[in-house]
Amino acid sequence: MKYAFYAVDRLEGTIAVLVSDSGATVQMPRVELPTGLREGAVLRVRFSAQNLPDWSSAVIDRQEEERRLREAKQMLDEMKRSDPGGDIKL
Amino acid sequence: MPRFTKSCVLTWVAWLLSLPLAAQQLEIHFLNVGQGDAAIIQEGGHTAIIDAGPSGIGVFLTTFHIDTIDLVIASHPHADHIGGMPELLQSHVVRFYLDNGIPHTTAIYRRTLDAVRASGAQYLNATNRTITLGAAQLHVLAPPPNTTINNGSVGILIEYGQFRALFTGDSEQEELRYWLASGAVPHVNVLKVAHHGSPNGTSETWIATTKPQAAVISVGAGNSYGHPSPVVIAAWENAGARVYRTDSDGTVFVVANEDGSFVITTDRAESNGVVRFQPFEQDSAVSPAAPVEAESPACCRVCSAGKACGNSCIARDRQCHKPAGCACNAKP
Repeated sequence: MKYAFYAVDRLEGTIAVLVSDSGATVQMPRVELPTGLREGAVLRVRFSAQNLPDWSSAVIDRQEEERRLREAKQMLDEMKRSDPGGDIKL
Repeated sequence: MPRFTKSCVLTWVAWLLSLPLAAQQLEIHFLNVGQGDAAIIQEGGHTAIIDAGPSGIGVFLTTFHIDTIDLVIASHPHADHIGGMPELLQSHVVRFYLDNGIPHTTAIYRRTLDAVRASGAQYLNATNRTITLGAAQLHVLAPPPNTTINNGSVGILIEYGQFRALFTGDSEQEELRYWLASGAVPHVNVLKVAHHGSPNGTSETWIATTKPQAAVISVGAGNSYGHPSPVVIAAWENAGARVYRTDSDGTVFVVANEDGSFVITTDRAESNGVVRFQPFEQDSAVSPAAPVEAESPACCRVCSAGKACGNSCIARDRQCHKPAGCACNAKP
């Protein structure tokens, strides 16, 4: 069974904007996705025999969300430490 | 015949280089990147970019012959603002990169971080600091702590002499109130309307404080989110602002002078469709929006050394590939 991850990029009213791991954006009505969805949540979605995402199978994967945030935060913290501080003249 | 020593010539060249360029102007391009935000700011040969849209910013950078970017700012990590970042960072020299420091979980965000690291750009935190871009100052308005991604948008107040422009990403009511309470928001000439003209990106107090002469909405045609709200457009217009929107006007091009005067033209304007704005009275109780005056034809810049090409000047020996714009040749 093939699965893929979609991260919730943002919520715009009744629409959830998702980003696949290939970088493609998909708009989905929020009512068709698991309840309790929020920005940054990561959905694990099963693919059908036709190789299409089966949105009814979508579940929120908190571990994957935490892993991504942890990695991003590590990278950010490293970059933040390199900031020379103060005003900058270009 | 006087003899010039090498040091004398060098002193003379250094003096010449230190003179202000009379024809220097600040340029702001609000790019038509569809549903998203991207803007190019140029002054004195320096370039900054605020947001990179969902994709396709490379075409604009090529059109404007930009290969080195002094500063790239990501207002916040939503895909409609950073989708074009990986491409931009991989294909151009970027000296400094500033974002709001809020991590996100999308693949687009991760690619952007990877690209920043690979580019060698110096990372800058979004603290209250000033970044000097030529003769323009970019004041960073730090977002409030511990908030949502939209309300964590980086604000940028551009000051160029008496001219001011304000960018606030997708900030919503919480962040607008935070900045208003801080007293950091002045009356501005040009304002990018927050969150693509969504009702949560505008308030009466925000309008009354910023009082722009021109309000620009960066938005894609036929988007699914109802952006921009007709109520928001009406609110800015009722306050006296001339409203531009990238879905119907195309790229919006601002050329500002240090005295606060500026002109605006757009991709889809008539060839003589340049609107000239007069400086407003600084810190005056008089509405700044009143002195909007449409003059046509008008020149957004006068080319004396080179020749006019579209909205800019190019060397006389180069061929112009742009359609007619607002630049004019100087009278002999």
